[in-house]
Amino acid sequence: MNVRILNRCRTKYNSRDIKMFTLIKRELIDNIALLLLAAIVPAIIITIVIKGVLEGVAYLPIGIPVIMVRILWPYLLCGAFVAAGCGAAQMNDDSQRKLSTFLSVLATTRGRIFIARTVLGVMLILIMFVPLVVTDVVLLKIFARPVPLDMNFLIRSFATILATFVCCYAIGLQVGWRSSKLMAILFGVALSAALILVVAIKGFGVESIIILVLFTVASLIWTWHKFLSLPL
Amino acid sequence: MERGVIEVRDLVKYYGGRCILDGVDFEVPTGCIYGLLGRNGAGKTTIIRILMGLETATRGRTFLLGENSRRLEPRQKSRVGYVAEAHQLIQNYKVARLVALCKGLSRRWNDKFFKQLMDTFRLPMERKVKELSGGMRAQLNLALAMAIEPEVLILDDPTLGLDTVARRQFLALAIDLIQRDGRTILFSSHILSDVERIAERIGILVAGKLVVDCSLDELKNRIKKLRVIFPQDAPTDLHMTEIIRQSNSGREMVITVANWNQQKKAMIETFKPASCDEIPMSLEEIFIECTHPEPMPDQI
Amino acid sequence: MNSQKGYVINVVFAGFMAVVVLSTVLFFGRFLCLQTLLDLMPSDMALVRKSPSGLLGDWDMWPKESVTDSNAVASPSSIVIQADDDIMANLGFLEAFDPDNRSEQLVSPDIYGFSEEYEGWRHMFYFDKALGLLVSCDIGREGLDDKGRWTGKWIKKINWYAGPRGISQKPGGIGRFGDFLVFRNVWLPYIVVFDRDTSQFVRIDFEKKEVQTGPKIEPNIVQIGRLIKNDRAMMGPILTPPQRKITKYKTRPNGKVVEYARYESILQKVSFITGTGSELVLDNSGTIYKLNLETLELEERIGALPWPGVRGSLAYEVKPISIQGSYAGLIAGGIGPDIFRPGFLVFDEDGNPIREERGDVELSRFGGGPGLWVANFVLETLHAPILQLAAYFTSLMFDGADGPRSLFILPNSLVGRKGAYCSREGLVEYILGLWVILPSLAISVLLAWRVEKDARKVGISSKAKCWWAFTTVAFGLAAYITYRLTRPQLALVTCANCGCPRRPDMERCHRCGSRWLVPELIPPLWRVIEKSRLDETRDFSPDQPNHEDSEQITKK
Repeated sequence: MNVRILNRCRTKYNSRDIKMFTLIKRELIDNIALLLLAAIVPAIIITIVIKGVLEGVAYLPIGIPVIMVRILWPYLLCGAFVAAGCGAAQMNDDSQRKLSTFLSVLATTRGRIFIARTVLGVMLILIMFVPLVVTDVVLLKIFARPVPLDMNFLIRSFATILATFVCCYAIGLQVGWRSSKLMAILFGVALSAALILVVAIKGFGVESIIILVLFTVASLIWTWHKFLSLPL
Repeated sequence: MERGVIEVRDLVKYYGGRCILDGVDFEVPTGCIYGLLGRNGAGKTTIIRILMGLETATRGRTFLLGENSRRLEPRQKSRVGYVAEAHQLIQNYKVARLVALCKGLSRRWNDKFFKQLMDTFRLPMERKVKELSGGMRAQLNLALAMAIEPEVLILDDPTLGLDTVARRQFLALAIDLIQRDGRTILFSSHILSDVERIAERIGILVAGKLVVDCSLDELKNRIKKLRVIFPQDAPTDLHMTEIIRQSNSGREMVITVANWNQQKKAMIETFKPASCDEIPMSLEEIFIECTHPEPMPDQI
Repeated sequence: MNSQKGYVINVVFAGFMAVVVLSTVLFFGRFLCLQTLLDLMPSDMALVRKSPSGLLGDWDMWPKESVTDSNAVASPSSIVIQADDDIMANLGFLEAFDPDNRSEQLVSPDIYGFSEEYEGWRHMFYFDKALGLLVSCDIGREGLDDKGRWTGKWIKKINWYAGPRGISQKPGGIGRFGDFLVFRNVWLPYIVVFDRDTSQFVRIDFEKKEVQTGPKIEPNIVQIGRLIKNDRAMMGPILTPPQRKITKYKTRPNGKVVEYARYESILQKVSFITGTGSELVLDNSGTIYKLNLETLELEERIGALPWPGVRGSLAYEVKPISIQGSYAGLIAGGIGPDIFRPGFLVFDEDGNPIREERGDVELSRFGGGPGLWVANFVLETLHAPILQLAAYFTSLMFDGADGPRSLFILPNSLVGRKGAYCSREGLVEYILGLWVILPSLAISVLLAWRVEKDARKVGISSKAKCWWAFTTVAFGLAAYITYRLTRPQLALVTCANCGCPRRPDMERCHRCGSRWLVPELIPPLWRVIEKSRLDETRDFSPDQPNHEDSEQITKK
């Protein structure tokens, strides 16, 4: 009897996982162009960093190659706007093509549709973020002087950049449900600019990260709540 | 307490400042085929969309399979087949991909039955949905709704866009489904001859209210159209309640009455008519009588 | 989640977002005002000058007897300090371009590396956190490439490990440093470390391989040697020694006589050091001491920062002055919490203050000044009163360098500065000084009244209305924006009974309590209703009203 209940639970959760996987796969295939666009950002940045490091290493006194520090702001700006644009485009696509209208009458919930969408967003951000971090780590291992590095600055910077990407993506999702894709993207980018200004004021560090994380949570929950209740 | 498969309780819906539904109440028991009728803009699609959780009601509640429509779980949705008005499918998907998506999200999928339907409808799997004709999209929509072997079918004008043959095929399928135990169907349609063929209960929406909610036989029994010939001019002071429509022309009075009973019959007989004949009405004619406020030109 | 809880969550999160976005917008509004103010301000206003300096003794004024040329014109020495006219220098994003200048370096560097290059090798000192020791090493590359650049794998040769208890070629047995500051002068063969854990100075001489520890000291030392903070925010203090301008004449080949001037600084021996054998140290309270590098003891107090405490200054720099190798005094210049207030203090060789100058902005002296100041104040006023109240009471807790970057609590605002000032005057003045928040409060009360009026119109419950009014008084414009974003988006319908707008999602009119009538819909009076078999078995007990589906208010 217990084995039967266990099997039934396992089947229930397996079935739920399969449905989530189906939704995530759908988002992935539909938005492959966004993932490719997101991949361009780190590709360009990595090329610049590698070229800068190989051409001649100038180091800051904190032990990090100059190029790795100088590239941080352009990287943040590009990545943030791309993240916002992608979030807005995803949500707007749904609203125009009535994807959620079709999906929500099937054996799934709006919540799961939203989660699948954010899973794609997470993948998008990781594509923009992880390659550059890995590249920097590898380059530092190869080219850094054999003395302990002041990694705090880089860690703070990357943490702030990651928080900014996530926050801008969340804003893109929030403003994307509009009739015009262009307006959705522009609105997302404009609101993201306000958040990037927070980082410009506070700099890379804990204060910026806290504000961005709280903003992300607020934005995602508001969007979640709105998505669950808006007419489809 | 046994609940209906579909319950609508005091449903009110406003779009902006405009009232569409003003307190609609009805129930669809298990195994019933319910035809929901109304003129354009009466609120049929609104009720169905609220039932499916695609819209929120301004006031009131709706229940589907015992659960509030706003909190439908996947296990309830998997038991419901839904065909939306205008067949909202994902247009740029290929049919095969759409099918795979629906299959991936369903708990039960009868592949054999689905293939049978696809063969019957002769739908190409490799074409994009937007490249299909309107009728083919309707057929695809039906096939997807039926392949999950639903306990409840909710069809919002499902034969919209189907040719006569396809419509007949659909009706045949619907009847086949009806004959399986415990299936419930709620559907709305403008083709009342089809509704008359398969519906057991009828609901008619007029001015935001459900003015008719009864079985088809009961409807035909309770709404009567009579041609009454009087010895002199037809009386103008016939104070009968529940007159749907009345037109006098000399000695002739044509009157449509709701809830026809002995009392009303006696009231007419007090005027000593020369004759009082019933004009049999089809569902379509009853519908027109109920929903058209003014006499039709041929009745003047 | 029922709709009540959902609504509250919505409001909280929308409110947070509104506060952040509004604060950012207001920040840049104030930024624009202040930057324009700085641009319009005459250059002498953001600049503080004193002449003569008072530090050079007889050399301050041009010694007349040394003038042999009657065309010579003397100018005495002067001290100048100026606030940077680009307040972007105070923003955090610049740290990304110049991470060395971040303020954490004031406290305790994680790594402090020096580098001298010779024959492809670099001689380095660094702090190994894992070992807790200072390490002296040489690093270099394997070989030269065809362009003559050293390339290839890095090679590292450890020379010495240094800890509080000695120097060794091996890391063990010499103690470890925890929290410390380090100072090195390239001309000296040793480095000096202040071990904060033991409050002692330690001199590490790599040449003699010896470590000397000084006595325990009281003050909480925060910097040694170069006493500087946030130098991006200012220019100076600059000491210009006395100069003479000699007019010379030269005859050109074409016979024309040309006049030209030559400037000479008579005092070639002025240098910005404390002299041999000592260095400046700064403690937390802003007091400057002289450290004897031989005995590692703090000598007398020789100066102080112009604003109290290291945290009290937006920026500072201390310049010791020596004349021909002998310590003559120091200039401690800085910018207070207000970016428009540069100032400096001059101390003689005994630590006595001999000059004090602080700038002050006279808005009436230049066009646009008062207007911009008022605009800035208005933008400050639009901040939430509760945050302004926090600024009033907490402005002294902020580091001076953080003030220009504050988004939410503004220690540099009028309210913040008033609070800082009144806190020093006594409790009564401290409380009475709160009047400065009244304009902000007035705006909030007005907004709260508008919110209450609209809430009444859309039928929000009394409890919710109270909360909204209270929140709007506390948070001002941000709360008003939040209310507009989260208020029920309903089209109000005219009540058939009282004729006022009412909400369609309520059973009864929230004004007159009448039940719902929809006069525009005229359904027929007849009904053909047949009970289903379910209705026949049911006892028709009415369902409980579902508060999750619609907001219902009871008319009082």
